[in-house]
Amino acid sequence: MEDALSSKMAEFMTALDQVKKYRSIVASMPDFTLILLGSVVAALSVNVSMRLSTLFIGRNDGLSIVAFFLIMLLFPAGIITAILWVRRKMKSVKVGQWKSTLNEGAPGAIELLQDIQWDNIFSDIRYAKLGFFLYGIAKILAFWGLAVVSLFVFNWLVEFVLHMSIDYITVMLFSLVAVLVLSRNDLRKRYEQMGRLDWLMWELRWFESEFKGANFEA
Amino acid sequence: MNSREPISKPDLYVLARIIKVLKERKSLNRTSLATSTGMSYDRLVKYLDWMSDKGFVKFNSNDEVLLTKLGNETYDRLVNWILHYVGKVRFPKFSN
Repeated sequence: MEDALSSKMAEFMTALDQVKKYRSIVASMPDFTLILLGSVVAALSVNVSMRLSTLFIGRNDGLSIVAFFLIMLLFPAGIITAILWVRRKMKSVKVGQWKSTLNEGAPGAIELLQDIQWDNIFSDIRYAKLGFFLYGIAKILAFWGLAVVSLFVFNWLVEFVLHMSIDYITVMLFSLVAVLVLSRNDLRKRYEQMGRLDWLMWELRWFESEFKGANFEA
Repeated sequence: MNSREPISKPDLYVLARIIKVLKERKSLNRTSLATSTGMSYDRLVKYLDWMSDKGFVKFNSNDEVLLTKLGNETYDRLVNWILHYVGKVRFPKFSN
């Protein structure tokens, strides 16, 4: 019986740890945005520098090709760095600190339940959902931006070689559809996780009201 | 809380700790029990008074504390009571 309680409490605390991890996504969103914007600014700076040098020095000497590859590298590097940054932040969240308390058995389980700050937990779940949503949108927008740039380059090459091109709106729409199709697994997973957070919220709300209202008669 | 004031509403965690130690060690004197439960002696004595009034513990001729059958049953009831609530919660499985 005591083992059953410990195991159920471990399940309980693991779910709360997961919420803490997801909650950290919101906190890392400003960093995520800054890294992405930084890569865009860096790419634009390279482009502007290249154009200014051509204008003032008057010679190009393959500089535009170097700049082109640099710009093409900066944006994907920014996206990858931003995603890795968010993952790193998520992994750095301290979890499992309750394990030593739960090793005490039933008294540990009681202590953990008594120490739960319900308002903070419900707020964390709401923030975790918001974080999931914003991170999902930001990732789609970043990949869309990358796809648009890549397709413009491709379009430019096709125009250069075959003298035919696709209009801008088609490029934008096609790249958006391509990104959505390629990210469908990620989107589905994100949607399911948000559903699970809702589920957890309802279960914990029920538990909080039942457990708080209950009175153990010794 | 006044140090002489008796316990009106005991902390379930403290109760569970005392009973768990007594379940494992059978009988203990107050000082050893205070050390084992990590409580101050005064606080433990107040809890033991309350538990003795309720019939959860008794004292033998050496003045050692023993857990009664009722105390044992109460602990099981407490574990069952919590499990009754926690056991009903269905936790979703999150993937990383």
